[in-house]
Amino acid sequence: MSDLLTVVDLSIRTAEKELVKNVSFSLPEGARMGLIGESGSGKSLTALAATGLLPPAITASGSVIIGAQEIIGTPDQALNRMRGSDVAVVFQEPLTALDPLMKIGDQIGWPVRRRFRREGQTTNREAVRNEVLSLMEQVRLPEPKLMLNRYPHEISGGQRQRVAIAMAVACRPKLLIADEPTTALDVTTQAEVLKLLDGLVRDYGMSLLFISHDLPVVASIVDDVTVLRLGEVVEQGTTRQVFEAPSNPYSQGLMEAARTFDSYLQDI
Amino acid sequence: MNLLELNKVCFSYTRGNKVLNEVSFSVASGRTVGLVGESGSGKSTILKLLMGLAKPSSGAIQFEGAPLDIGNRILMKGYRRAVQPVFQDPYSSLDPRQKVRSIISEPLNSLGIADQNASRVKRALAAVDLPEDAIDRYPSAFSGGQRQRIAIARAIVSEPRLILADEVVSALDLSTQVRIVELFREIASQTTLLFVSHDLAVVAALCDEIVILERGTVVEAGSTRSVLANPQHTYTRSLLDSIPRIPEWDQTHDNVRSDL
Ligand SMILES: Nc1ncnc2c1ncn2[C@@H]1O[C@H](COP(=O)(O)OP(=O)(O)OP(=O)(O)O)[C@@H](O)[C@H]1O
Ligand SMILES: Nc1ncnc2c1ncn2[C@@H]1O[C@H](COP(=O)(O)OP(=O)(O)OP(=O)(O)O)[C@@H](O)[C@H]1O
Ligand SMILES: [Mg+2]
Ligand SMILES: [Mg+2]
Repeated sequence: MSDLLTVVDLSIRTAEKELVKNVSFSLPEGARMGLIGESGSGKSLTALAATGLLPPAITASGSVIIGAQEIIGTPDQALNRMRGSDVAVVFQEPLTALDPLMKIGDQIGWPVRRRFRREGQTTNREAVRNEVLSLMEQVRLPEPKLMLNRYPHEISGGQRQRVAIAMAVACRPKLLIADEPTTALDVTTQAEVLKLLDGLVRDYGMSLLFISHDLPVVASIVDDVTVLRLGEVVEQGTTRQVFEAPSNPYSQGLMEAARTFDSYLQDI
Repeated sequence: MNLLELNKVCFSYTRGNKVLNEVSFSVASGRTVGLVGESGSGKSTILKLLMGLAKPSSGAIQFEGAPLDIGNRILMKGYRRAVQPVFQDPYSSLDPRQKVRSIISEPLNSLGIADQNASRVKRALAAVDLPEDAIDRYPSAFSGGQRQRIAIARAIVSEPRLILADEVVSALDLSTQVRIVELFREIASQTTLLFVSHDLAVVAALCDEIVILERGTVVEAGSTRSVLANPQHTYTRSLLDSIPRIPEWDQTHDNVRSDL
């Protein structure tokens, strides 16, 4: 299978500091990779660089290729055309992705309409509304018909996160980047959302770059893992390799901490 | 003595159904209480009422035995001195135009604590594991987990008597979580903590007591140990059962997704 996403020697810096150093990895079509590492290790910046969404004060060097398109150095306008169809992102803080003045139904309707147009489907109100309702059900939003008319501040934190997931999934992109997509979700809701992502990858051959600090969740959804520490890759391998027999002391520490926490509940 | 007491608190938003249904529980002085429940069950709404940002439709909230009355300016002023919230969404609760220094010292300034302002801010920053040079940066120059820790530093800097914390460790990796939980444990010896979380492991590690909320109704409450060791309600059991664990790989299955 050919690679959908190829990152080579990606470095990210501000005027003063290098934040991400020489990160390389690739993601074949239909594959899933997890990006893990402590808070501040550079996971979100890597994801932002991959979609050309870094803030203005930050520059990236190296190469990021999605499909055949080089992202680094490409003007935003050109990238806008691929956003949605080629790549969509679930951002770490859902409020950043949501327009505070737009009703939930309209926010999800927007990417739905864009995809319908792309696929040559009819974009009448009825068709869009039905798809929006179906997406809301898939991410387990309660009473979707009522929620259509609410604003982002009128729903709970975990509900906002699910709206953001529905918006990204609505694009049916070739590559979905999900940055801590289930942090605000309780375990039962989280399980449903993971099942949804898993199904999308399977049914549509979508590739998934999954960022999370929750190692059991990562292990349940990805095949390969890249471990970041202070902006650098310290380990790469299959999920099983990295979880069962991490070779780097830093990844060993991460795994140990996770297993200790696992056992905490067992002890009760 | 009970620092906080909720008595049959009901609440509905103007646009929507009843969100809280006769919620009663109390928080004793010096205790750490975990408030757990599904997404949308009403946890943040309870904190909103406790911060005096909205009023119960019926029922009452008491602080140190006196009813919390939003209309009573003098009472609310004293109350706000004693209480510090940490909101669920750090992105929206940190003013993007302020540097970390003024964000963290804001509670000190508004409470008129001039004494050792700078060193208190420094200590709070160190307590949440942020570097000293963080003080001169804006919130946008931090990662998600770092922003969450800035919000925690702001809440602890004035040494409040009651901290209302809403999903404050959800974005943190485990080793950072452990350090923050340790920090809260230390703080908890001097203060009272109401800790909203959907993460039972964190609550088990931190909280003396637990209150389980399902769709606006308290379904179970008691000491964390006894509730989690012997859950009475099906909802509590299902929460415990669905906690993801790191899988054990066997020889034949390289892939664990079959159990999703
Ligand atoms: N705009 C910026 N200016 C300066 N430094 C930044 C900026 N954005 C991020 N950083 C720094 O870059 C590092 C990596 O940030 P990033 O957001 O990628 O971390 P992360 O791995 O996603 O962490 P978390 O798990 O906490 O979300 C952090 O130390 C952060 O402080
Ligand atoms: N302003 C509002 N108007 C109408 N309904 C609201 C409003 N704010 C919240 N709700 C609804 O009230 C219910 C409880 O929301 P709340 O934010 O208290 O949940 P929560 O337990 O904190 O959930 P989460 O874990 O997802 O943060 C949800 O169904 C939500 O949609
Ligand atoms: Mg991040
Ligand atoms: Mg909430």
